[in-house]
Amino acid sequence: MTDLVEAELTNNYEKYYRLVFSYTHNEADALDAVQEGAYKAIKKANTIKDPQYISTWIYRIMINEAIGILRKNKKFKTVDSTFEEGKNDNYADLDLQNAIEKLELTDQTIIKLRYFEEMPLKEIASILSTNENTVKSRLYRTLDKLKTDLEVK
Amino acid sequence: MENRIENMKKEYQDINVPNEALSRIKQGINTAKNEKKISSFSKQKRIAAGIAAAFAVCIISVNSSPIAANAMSSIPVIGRIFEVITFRDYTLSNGNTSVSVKEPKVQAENSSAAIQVNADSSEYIDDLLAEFEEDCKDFDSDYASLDIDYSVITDTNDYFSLDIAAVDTGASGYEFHRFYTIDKNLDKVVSLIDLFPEGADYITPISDEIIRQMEAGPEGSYFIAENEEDGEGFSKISPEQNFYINEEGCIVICFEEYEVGPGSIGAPKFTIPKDITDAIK
Repeated sequence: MTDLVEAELTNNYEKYYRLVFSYTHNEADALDAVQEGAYKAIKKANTIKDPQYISTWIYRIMINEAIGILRKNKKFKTVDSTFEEGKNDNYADLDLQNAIEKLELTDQTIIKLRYFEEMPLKEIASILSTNENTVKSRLYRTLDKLKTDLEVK
Repeated sequence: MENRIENMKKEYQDINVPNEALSRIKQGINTAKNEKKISSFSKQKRIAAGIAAAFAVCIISVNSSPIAANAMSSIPVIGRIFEVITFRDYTLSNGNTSVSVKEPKVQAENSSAAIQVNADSSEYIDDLLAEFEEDCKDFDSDYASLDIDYSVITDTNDYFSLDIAAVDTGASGYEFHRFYTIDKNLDKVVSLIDLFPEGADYITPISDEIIRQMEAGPEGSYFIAENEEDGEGFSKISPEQNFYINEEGCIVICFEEYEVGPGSIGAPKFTIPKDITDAIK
């Protein structure tokens, strides 16, 4: 199983990196997160029962790493909140990007996995350790919320 | 709306992946592999049947030993003093699978509540062990372990709270707790409802306080439901919510991992200040 996890990590490192980066918006943090995520995945590789879920499982680990880094940074930011965070990415639809970033992290994750990674709801549910219906209702609620947020502007 | 998000996808895909990404991933992989090599001195596969047999032997020997039984009865107890001894304590390992169990036995003279806790916790631990064995059979893994341990959280004149913690580092990596609280004056194993006058609404004020504490925490730390119908996230405690009473006599409400927040926050606990519980009538 370790070999399979390793192959998945090295073959698809780009998609894991992008996802992590979409949380951190910062290259150094994203690199830290993927390295730590890869470390944890290999460490725990033997606990996976079914090779079919390797990718789902790695996604979960990577998302947790990314969110962990966000939390750490957030604590840091409160010390000097006047400091504007540098962003390497540049989305054309800034309003939408801002609206997405204001969402709860779980909702952000659902949007990213659903639309950017084109993942089926079922897989998203297993990444978030919840059920498909919950993901579906959360997704619709989030879409509504984004719509209202953007209309107000 | 969905179209606008779809449009963003292209930009998402254009996120520049630096060359370093692959080497950093490889670095993570190699560090983990090296650590594994050191720790896995035995590559021998664990045989589920062997573990099962070892369990049976261990349990029988402790439970049926007259010496052990005598040793337990000779501990002096005065009044409502609660004493906890380790009734079963063993570690088994086979290859990389290991089980470590510390089972408590609460001793208190003429306390039916203590007897009840012992019977219930013993059954609970047996269930956990059986489940773990099943899991081991099901999945082909070199690494799995189950640790069951207990701790006395509170032992005051009025209350006694015991925590039985189980950590399963197999497939899930879950940690779960079961708490027992005894009202010493009534000699009764209490659940939340017993702590308040009959018919009093304790659920709302306690839930409100938990939400207040959740909201005070870092954003996104907890799943809070927007309304009660919302099946997901926290809206209110269950009448039989896991809890214990701390040394100060405050109720501490406990949740399991993933119950009210992402796995990264672990199993959260919320201490409910006395002024809130005192006001419940």
